[in-house]
Amino acid sequence: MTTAGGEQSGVDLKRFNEVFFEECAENLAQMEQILISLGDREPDQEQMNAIFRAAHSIKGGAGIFGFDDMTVVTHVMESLLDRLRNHEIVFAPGMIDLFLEAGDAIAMQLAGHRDGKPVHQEAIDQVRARLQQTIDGDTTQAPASPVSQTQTQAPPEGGLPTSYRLAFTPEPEIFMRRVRMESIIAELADLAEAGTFRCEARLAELPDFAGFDPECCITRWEFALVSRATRDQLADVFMFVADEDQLRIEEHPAERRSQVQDPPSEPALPVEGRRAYDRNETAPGAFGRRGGEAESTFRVNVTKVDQLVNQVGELLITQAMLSQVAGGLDPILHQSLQRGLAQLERNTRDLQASVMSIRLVPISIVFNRFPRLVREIAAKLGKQVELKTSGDSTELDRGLIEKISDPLTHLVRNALDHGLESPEKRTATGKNPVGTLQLSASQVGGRIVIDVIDDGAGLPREKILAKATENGITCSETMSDEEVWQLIFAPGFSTASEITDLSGRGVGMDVVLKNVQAIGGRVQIASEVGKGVRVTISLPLTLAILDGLSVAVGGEKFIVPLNVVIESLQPKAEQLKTVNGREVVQVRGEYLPILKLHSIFNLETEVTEPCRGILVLVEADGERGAVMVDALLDEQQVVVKSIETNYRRVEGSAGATILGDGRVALILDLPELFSMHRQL
Amino acid sequence: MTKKGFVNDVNITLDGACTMERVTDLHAFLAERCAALAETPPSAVRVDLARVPGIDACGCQLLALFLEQLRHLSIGASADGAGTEVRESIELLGFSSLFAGEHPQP
Amino acid sequence: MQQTAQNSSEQQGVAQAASEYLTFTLGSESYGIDILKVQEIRGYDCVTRIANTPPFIKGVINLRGVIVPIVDLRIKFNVGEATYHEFTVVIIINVLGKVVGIVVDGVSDVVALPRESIKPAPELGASLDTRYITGLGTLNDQMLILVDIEKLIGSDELQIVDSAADNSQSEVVNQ
Repeated sequence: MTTAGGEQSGVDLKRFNEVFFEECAENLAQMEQILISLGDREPDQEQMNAIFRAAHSIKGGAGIFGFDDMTVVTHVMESLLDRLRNHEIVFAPGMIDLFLEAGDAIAMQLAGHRDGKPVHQEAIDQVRARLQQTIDGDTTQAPASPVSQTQTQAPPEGGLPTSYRLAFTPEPEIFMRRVRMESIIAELADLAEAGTFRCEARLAELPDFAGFDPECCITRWEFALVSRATRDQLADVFMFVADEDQLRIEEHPAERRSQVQDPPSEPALPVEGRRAYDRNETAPGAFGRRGGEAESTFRVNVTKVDQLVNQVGELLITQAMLSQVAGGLDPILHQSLQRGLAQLERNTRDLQASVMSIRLVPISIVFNRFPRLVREIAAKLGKQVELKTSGDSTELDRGLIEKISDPLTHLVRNALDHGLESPEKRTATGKNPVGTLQLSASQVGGRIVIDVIDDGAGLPREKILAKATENGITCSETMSDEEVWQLIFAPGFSTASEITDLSGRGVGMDVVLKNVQAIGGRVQIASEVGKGVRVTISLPLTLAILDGLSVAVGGEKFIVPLNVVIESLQPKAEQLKTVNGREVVQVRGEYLPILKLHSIFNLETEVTEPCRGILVLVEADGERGAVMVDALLDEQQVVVKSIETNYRRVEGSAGATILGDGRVALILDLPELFSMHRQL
Repeated sequence: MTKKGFVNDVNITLDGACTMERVTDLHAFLAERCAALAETPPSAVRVDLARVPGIDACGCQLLALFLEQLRHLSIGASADGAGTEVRESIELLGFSSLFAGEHPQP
Repeated sequence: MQQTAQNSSEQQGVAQAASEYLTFTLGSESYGIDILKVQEIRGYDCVTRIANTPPFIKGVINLRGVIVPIVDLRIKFNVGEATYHEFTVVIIINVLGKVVGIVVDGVSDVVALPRESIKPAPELGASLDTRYITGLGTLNDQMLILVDIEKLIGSDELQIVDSAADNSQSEVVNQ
């Protein structure tokens, strides 16, 4: 049975759940990160506490929002951690893996609730049973029943018992949010020393009964307890439900246990309104976050940021338009206008840089996935691998992070599977039996460069050539090493002699290349026999804005991304040659194919001879060429717009932009143009 | 409307869970009782919770408000008879004294 | 909201008074499209050509920061005369999550057609394929061809919507 009110709150509920899901994912990630960093070492007290807190807060949130299934595994996990922490159980290296599996189980449940993904209950039951076994097997104490209320004591770092008084004035919608007050209160009660917890509900007002909205919360709760927990730990109990001004915490460290067992019926707290947050108190930290760093951050919906980015993009276009209009005015007569416009341009650029920086996130988000992956794969393959990362704090656009993750994962798998040798083989060749896999990120100019380096056997030239021939890929013995390495990017190429379940599966480097290219990136390979392979991915800083050179061809304008441009020149007749019926230009001893934009794009123009136009020399994906245009127009920053939002993909373009005059101009995709040119 | 079952206006028996999901129906039911009681106020009203299998904060609040409303009309109002589980919930949620009528609210 | 209301009334088979249609002409024929699918009507200017597309894809325009493709239905259906001047009209359609502009000979009016007055489309010699016609209406003794604009925009014939080959690729790399 659903009441009308229940249905209405469905949307809201989802939004509130989202906060929990996010927190939960963060907690899981944090937990995993700590566990991985341990290797097989025993966690120190601080790490243990951090893991415990993560598990505890997942459990708490799950309880509050009614995801009871998620509390089951977390509960047993918490029990085990608690016993470990109190040295009731002796740490064993296998526990790390068990905790990791438990984390996976919880993540699966999370995905089940959030995205409706399938949940394998057996796997969860198994993990739970094994956790329970570990508890039972190692302790003389009676095993905890897995779903009972938590019996864990207050986290020990609190020190001396302190007397606290709390007042919680929830927002009126708290019931509609389906928040379970009983879970919150029970959790708070768990933090209290035995027998000290008091809870009193009070009605903040007495509205007329008939006209009262029964789903609206008018209750205010007051609690009194003695606890070893810190103020922040108490505040954390309310982290999903209370804003700062809805929770008051008073502490009386001087008071001893006996003094607070007074009945709390006497006015426990000065009765104050909703906003009665006393600034003089030590702030309980930003809710929903922990520790010092948290206080200066808050969550913003990604769509809001994207909207901001779009609006700044529009502003840039408007500014460009104004500049263009003003360019036609007499600079002496309109001096102050020009000055203002110059100022506007500076301000717009600054604003744009600030806004774009909001979208930047550290690459550690992706790198952090790998310790675990490497550990698992290495174990499966019987290889010994040390993973090193550097430049973890290198920032790149959020959108890129999501899209670079898969290609990087693939490269890492490849390196482990095909690159690094077995310990025996390594020892035999005089290498350290432990192989090294290095992930490094750095910002080089306007691009982010990510290297995946292994110290394995290097790429096998002969094998690659043989395989390419076998698969009908054009190649020859005389090819340079660089050209040979490029072969592995050919569709359907795979050097693994047998398909393993790690990186075989018929998916190859071609997909990596395609995915990286799709986000404006490039992939390069360097390899040395016996020394290893370095795969370098370079990405634009952001997807949203790029520096471009605008060029004109037959009345249309195009944008050439500046990062592919080497130089531009007006060729002399003696530089122009024909090779195999194709026009080329000789620049410093090198013959570059001439890509006539007008013929690739079927445009009519008067400039059909290279001598009369301009050649823009470009390099993309290691390929060089000369793009022939009518004229160069301007160098400008352009806002990248998707054509695919309302239309299909356009061959030869990497998106479009809006110019100062309001017209649309296509942004050229050079690698695609090269292949279009070859097909002409 | 699934709400049913009352004995008389001075001994109100709630039947079914007293929770957020049912609070709208419960409110309608109690509002009706409240209106009837306001016309001819008895000296005391007892709400019987024996047939309530579960209660949450939202249900507690509604019940507490109902009782307070009656007390406002100078009717001695209390709720009791709850099973162990429900009583524990009420205690945990801090509504015990409001239900017993021990601490009149402002 | 309006749209939902209409859809649900269709489902329930309730004889709603009338639906509104934007009527336009292509050559000598009058067509109507569901007014709820029309975002706006604007003039034809500043179209950027896109290479290697069929002739009826005129290119793309900047519609307040959004890039919108322009389809000339006159060329596509070989009617009227594909000339462009200050009176050339583009109807901006919003269907299937896409915003698309269509060029027609002229926009006439918005009319309300009683549901019962709409007849099923026979196989007839309209320039538009029967697949895209939902029915025939009558307006001032003139035949009005009602177009299923959503089906038309989404059709392979117009090549506006990609056949979404990209998804398979990302799935593969997830392996």
